[in-house]
Amino acid sequence: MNNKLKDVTMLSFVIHAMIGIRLLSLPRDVVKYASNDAWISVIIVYISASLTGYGFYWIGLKYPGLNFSQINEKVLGKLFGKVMMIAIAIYTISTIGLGLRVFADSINLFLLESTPSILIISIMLIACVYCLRKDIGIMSIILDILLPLLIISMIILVLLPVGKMEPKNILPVFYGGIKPVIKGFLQIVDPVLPCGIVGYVLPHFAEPKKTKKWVFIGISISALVYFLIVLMCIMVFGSDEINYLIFPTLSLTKSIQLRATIFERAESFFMAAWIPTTFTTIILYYFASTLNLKALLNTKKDAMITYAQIPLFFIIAFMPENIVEVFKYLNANAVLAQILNLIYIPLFVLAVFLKTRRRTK
Amino acid sequence: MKTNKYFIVIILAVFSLSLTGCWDYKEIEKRGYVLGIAIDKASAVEDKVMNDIKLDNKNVGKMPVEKGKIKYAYTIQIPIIARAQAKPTGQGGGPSGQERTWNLTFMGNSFFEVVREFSTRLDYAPFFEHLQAIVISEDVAKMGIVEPLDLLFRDPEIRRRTRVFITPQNAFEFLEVSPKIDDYSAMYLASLPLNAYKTSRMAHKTDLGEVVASLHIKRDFALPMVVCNKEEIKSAGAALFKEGKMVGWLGEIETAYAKWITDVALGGEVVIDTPNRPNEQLTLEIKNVKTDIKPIIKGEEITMSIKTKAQLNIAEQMGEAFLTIFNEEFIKEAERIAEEQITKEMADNIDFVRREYGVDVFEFGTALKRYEPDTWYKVRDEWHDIFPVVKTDIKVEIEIKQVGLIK
Repeated sequence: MNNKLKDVTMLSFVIHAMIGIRLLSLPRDVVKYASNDAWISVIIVYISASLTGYGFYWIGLKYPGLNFSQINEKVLGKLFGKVMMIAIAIYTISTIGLGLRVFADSINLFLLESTPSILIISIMLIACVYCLRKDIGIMSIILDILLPLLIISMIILVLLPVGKMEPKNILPVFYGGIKPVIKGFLQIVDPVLPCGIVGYVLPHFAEPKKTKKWVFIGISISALVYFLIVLMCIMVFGSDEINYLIFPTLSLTKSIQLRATIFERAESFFMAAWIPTTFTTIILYYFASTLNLKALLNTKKDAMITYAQIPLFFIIAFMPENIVEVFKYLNANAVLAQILNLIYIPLFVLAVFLKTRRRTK
Repeated sequence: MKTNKYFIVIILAVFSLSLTGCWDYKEIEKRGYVLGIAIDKASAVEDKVMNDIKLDNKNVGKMPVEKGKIKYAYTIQIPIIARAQAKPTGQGGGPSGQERTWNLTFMGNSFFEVVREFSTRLDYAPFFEHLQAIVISEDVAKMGIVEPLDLLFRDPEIRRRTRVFITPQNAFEFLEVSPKIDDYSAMYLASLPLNAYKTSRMAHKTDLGEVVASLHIKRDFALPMVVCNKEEIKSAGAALFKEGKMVGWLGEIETAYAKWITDVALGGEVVIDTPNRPNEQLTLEIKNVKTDIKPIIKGEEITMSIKTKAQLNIAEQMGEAFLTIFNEEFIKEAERIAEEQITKEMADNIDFVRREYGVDVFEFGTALKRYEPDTWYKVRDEWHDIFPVVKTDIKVEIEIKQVGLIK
């Protein structure tokens, strides 16, 4: 833990954690409930993400040197702390497992038709484990290198279909009132939770206080990417059509066609940028999951915990039999994320607030 | 240190295995790039299939289907790249007179079954990522296009921007066209809609993505009509679809005004009578057209307010009036005549389509949904009954900007 990161690194931690596998199917999940107003849901998500991100940051500052799971135990006591850590462990491990599955499925569907999923998942995990076994400084460098690739590919993805968009598709605005918008928001709460990575990497920063700015910039950029992609999907396809697309973002890349015959297969370019994005998201989840399990089991054996999780990932990744079941499990996972994000985190922040106030008195 | 070295060697070995990507490795020249697909009714292409190979009086050139009746004939076009005229290296043209494409037909029911059956005759496995055009014959379109097209919506190899055309002829004839300049008829066909900024008489919004979106939300739509002979293809007019089935054709000039109404006109021309000289024609070039359709609800009555603003240039005057064009009054009068004529054409067009086909190709339903969602959700189920009696209120504003180089 001698590595003291520079505060700007927080930017890539937050963006890489928040933009990942979910981007592929997210527009459908939110449009299903909020239809044309899905973009308003994303704005609410942005507000929620800022609050959650700030919550993690604030808690981290109150207990310097401890990660989120360790703070849990300190604030809630041994029993409740462990229960919450188990909940977090279920969430992180199932997210990684299902994320790997979605990743392998879409790679199979769009790029490598006959490569077995188990191989795609194994290679991804080997790369992740290799990266994790090095220290956090190396991880942060990898994230920094990949960040421009992520941002540029997202910009291209949002700009290229502009010629195909129909701005009138977002009409009628706010028909049906606030209820569908909130329902849509609940569907996409889970990409917000990854900004909790702040709670796990904060102890590694030289000056944790200075990272505040970067946490917010990171959340803003991620929310903007989600916002633009949802908006673009609605404008290009229309909200009714998105309901029929399993991976709307991939369909968006496939709908890019310029007059010239360059970029006939723009989705290959997007895929090339998207694989490292998945990699970074999984790494960050893996990192948080390992720290969480270490706190849960009160052990310092980093290597053992890291390797012990691998079979779990495989079991979860191959548990769903078909794509319909994958999305069933993903929904269950999203419900867990909703509970953690909307109920547990605010309560926990309140608990920390009360406890520290008592302490200062 | 020793263990570390072995570890690195193992890692390198494992990773280098994965780098070859051996599972999905395919030679680029061994792919059969499908450029065009033609879908006909099976009865239309009886003699196209390999009928000459017989075994015990059974036609083995034909394809047996596992389930269902043989309904469709699917033809695919594969380029013979060695015979291409336009060579990238500029070596000059290949031998002319030879066929530049390889067209294969199979009759079957499931398109996927047929696609796999192609591999029995084609040593280059069909690859659809670069598909340019899909031609569907009128007979198939009238039976419904959802059935034969579902594979194309579902398959990840196919892009949503692939163009779809409807023809009154046999669809496979388009793949046999030997274009004068282009190499492959499918590419020739696919690049015709790019000329939409020159004329409004062709429907150019034709891609598969829009077809599938329209089918999903049960919106009526139009697809371009194409005809061909041995060397040429013509794309003009449109085929109208209601609930996934073709119901009729729209002529060239009707298509142009339908495009004015639906705000997709990119260019073209309007021919009107010359002011004060009704026997002479004045041709105007379309520079810009913008149409807004907004519904107005009064009680139970729905009125569609169609407001069109267009900028035109004078392109040609055939007659003696050419000396008087550079004149404010002449321009004003020409604008008035154009407004009158376009309003009338648009109204006639809407009436004609509603009377003949009852197809909401003007997207009145979409406008209703966008601006008056309450009413839309009330009338959505019986929209096809309400649509023919919806009132319209057309206002056209024409500005003539330029007169050309001479007075």
